[in-house]
Amino acid sequence: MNSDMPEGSEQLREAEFRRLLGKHHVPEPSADFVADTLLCIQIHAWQTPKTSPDFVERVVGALAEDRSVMGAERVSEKLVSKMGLMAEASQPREPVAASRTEAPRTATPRTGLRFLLPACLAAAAVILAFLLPSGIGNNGIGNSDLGFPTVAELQDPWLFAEQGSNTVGRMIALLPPERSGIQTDETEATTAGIIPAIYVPPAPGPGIAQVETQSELPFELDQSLGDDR
Amino acid sequence: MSEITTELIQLALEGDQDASRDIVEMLHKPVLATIHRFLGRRFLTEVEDIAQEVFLKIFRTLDRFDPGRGVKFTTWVFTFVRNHCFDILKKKRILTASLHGENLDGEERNWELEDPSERKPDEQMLDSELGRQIENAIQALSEEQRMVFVLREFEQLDLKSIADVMDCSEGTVKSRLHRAKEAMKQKLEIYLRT
Repeated sequence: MNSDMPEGSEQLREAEFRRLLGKHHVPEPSADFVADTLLCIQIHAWQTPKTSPDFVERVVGALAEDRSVMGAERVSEKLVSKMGLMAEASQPREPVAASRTEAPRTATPRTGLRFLLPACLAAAAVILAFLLPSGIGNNGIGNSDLGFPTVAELQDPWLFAEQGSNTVGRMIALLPPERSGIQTDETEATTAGIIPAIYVPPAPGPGIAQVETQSELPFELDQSLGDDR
Repeated sequence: MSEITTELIQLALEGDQDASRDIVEMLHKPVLATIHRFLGRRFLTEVEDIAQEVFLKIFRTLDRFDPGRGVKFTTWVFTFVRNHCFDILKKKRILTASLHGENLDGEERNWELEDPSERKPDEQMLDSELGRQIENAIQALSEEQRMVFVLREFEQLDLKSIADVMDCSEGTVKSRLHRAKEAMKQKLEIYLRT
């Protein structure tokens, strides 16, 4: 800015500038500033006594010791929790104090299986009970004294040829009418070894005569309906 | 400002109250003046408290002062002044000049001076008004330029000491000082011609 000015005028300008700055005064400090400051220094010096030379080493040592203790505690807690898991496989589960390092377990896969297996068995038993005409017991399949078909009878190749692999169908086909619970004339016909358990509505007219086989039934019904119309 | 000897510092470290008093006596005026000039009018009521905090910091860490590093005690003290003032401005988030101020690069701000023709003929009033204009011009400088300018022009610290205080090179100090002076002269141009 002033590079084109003569050196003398630059010096004059500088001198004038310094004189101008000399006009800038700051307020005098208060009379008791030094005393107040010294008092403040003494108070703080009294409040903050010097630390011992080995303070840092002692703190670091204590921290390291605490860390090792904490680590050992964590290991023992993990061991206890693992032992508890092993024990609960054979014993009923008891409430255990919550671990500091592990979240509380809810249902582990093993616990789930333990409850799933009896449920499956119960469901199978119920299904079996429904399959058997007289429920679960000694009076089911194989008890020929009570009028139920034996296994040999169920496995009869002729019966197999007629009823196929449907065990229920084969069993009902072999049952006497009083055991099957169906008391109509049509079922009497089925006990001769033809149609077991298909419900046929009462014939409205003479259209329906004899139903020979299961496969012929729809055709015959259609015919009868056709005849009716 | 008379230099503080190493013996005096050692005595203060040992708890000698007279030595501590001598140190505070010798340093309190330049410390207060620097804080006042750097922070400006808006901290007028807080300047002594701020100076006390600086002295507290100095005396708390007096044992860390190492004369073997080649740094003067006064330079070391001004480092505390500088750091504390910068912290205050940072904490209080005060824009030190105006909302139209300069950025950190130290470029000039748009500073409007009052019209000198409105000055009253009273000499004391004139000085007071001039002093306010000078302070306004100082406050228009960036923080770095302002501290360098105050330490050099008002406290007469040498360039090396200022470089130690500001933690920068002497070249940077020279550059900041030159720019600060040019900005100040420009702002106070109207007074330089009279």
